[in-house]
Amino acid sequence: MATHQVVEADVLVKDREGIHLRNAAALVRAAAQFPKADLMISKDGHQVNGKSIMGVLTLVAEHGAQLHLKARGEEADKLIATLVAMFENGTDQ
Amino acid sequence: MHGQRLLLELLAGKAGTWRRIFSAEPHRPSLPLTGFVDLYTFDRAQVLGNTELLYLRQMDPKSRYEALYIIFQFELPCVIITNAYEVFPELIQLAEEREIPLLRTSLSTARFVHHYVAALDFDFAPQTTVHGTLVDVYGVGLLLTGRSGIGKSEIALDLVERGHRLVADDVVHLRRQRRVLMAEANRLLGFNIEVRGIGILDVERLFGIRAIRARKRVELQVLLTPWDGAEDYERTGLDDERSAILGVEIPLVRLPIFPGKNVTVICETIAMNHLLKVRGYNAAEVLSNRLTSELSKASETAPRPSNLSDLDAT
Repeated sequence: MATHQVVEADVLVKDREGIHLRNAAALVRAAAQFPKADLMISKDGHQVNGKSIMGVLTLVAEHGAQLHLKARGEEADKLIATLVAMFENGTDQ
Repeated sequence: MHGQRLLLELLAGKAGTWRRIFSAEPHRPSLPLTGFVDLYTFDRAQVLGNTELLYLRQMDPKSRYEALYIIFQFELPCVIITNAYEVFPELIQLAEEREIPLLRTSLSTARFVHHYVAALDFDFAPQTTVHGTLVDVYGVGLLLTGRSGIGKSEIALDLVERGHRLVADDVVHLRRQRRVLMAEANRLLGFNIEVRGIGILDVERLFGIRAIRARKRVELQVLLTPWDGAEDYERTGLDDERSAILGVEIPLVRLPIFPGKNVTVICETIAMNHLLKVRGYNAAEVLSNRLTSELSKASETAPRPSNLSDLDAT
């Protein structure tokens, strides 16, 4: 059952400069720690693969933007928890 | 060893050819000839050029012998006369007595010193040997490393097939020359490579002279690692990792590989991208700047959520 779980969350981009290239890399690298889960990120109806850095860039997620995270598969809950924590603290560490 | 290149002939003191030179710098013993021997660097090759020889020439044989004896009393590795200058009998006599090799070159002092330093710098350069493969890819010296059996030789073969040039496989001899790293093959191995399942292959015989290169500057290291889905790979190319070999820093690319991945084309691309970067163009930076300007445009036009004031406080 756990392998097909879908976990979702809404997050806010707190980084002053939005998700620029470096933050996007940090994000996809964090997501890559969970190889058996898929991740989609959407903003204003534009949905991308959260493990693709080029996809994440096209969100142009500025400071204050609202993003929707949706993970599916093994450890989807951990993946979402990790990312939510990242967004809480700002993805630029 | 460098006799031919430096146009040297041995005139006397053959019994002293066992003597060793410990510095790539030669010395011109003008002041010692006049009697001042403080701080005399006698352990270097002693070069007698126009100035010294002209000084000695205007002396009578006895004073000349005495002047020369001042330097010949030291354990000189050798004495070299430049410009194919005439040889005084006193020089021959002292060289034989003291068993210090006396050599002569037809090169001018300046040219001789230039070539001498270059030749000895090469001999004295710090050296090391690494387990890896060196291929000249579009003129970029690419050092492939990674654990045994990961496929370095196979990639080299593939690169050679595509027109690139093999420098060394498996055993790469490196030496630091000034601030660059030079690579060459092991003399015994030459351009032979071992491919698992086939055995030893002679790349020069198989692919011809265009497929090999005797020496090449190492400009880039590509570390091949087995693909591990969760590992932290470089994703942007904004931050160059660097590797230090013999104190020379070169960019290091960690390349995760798996069966079916076309590493050859990636290696070519790494080489080409390196050339672009050297010429000042970094694709990651350009894209990053474009994104940054899009982000600032977006934050100006986007309606700010009501709770954003909390964010600003953090």
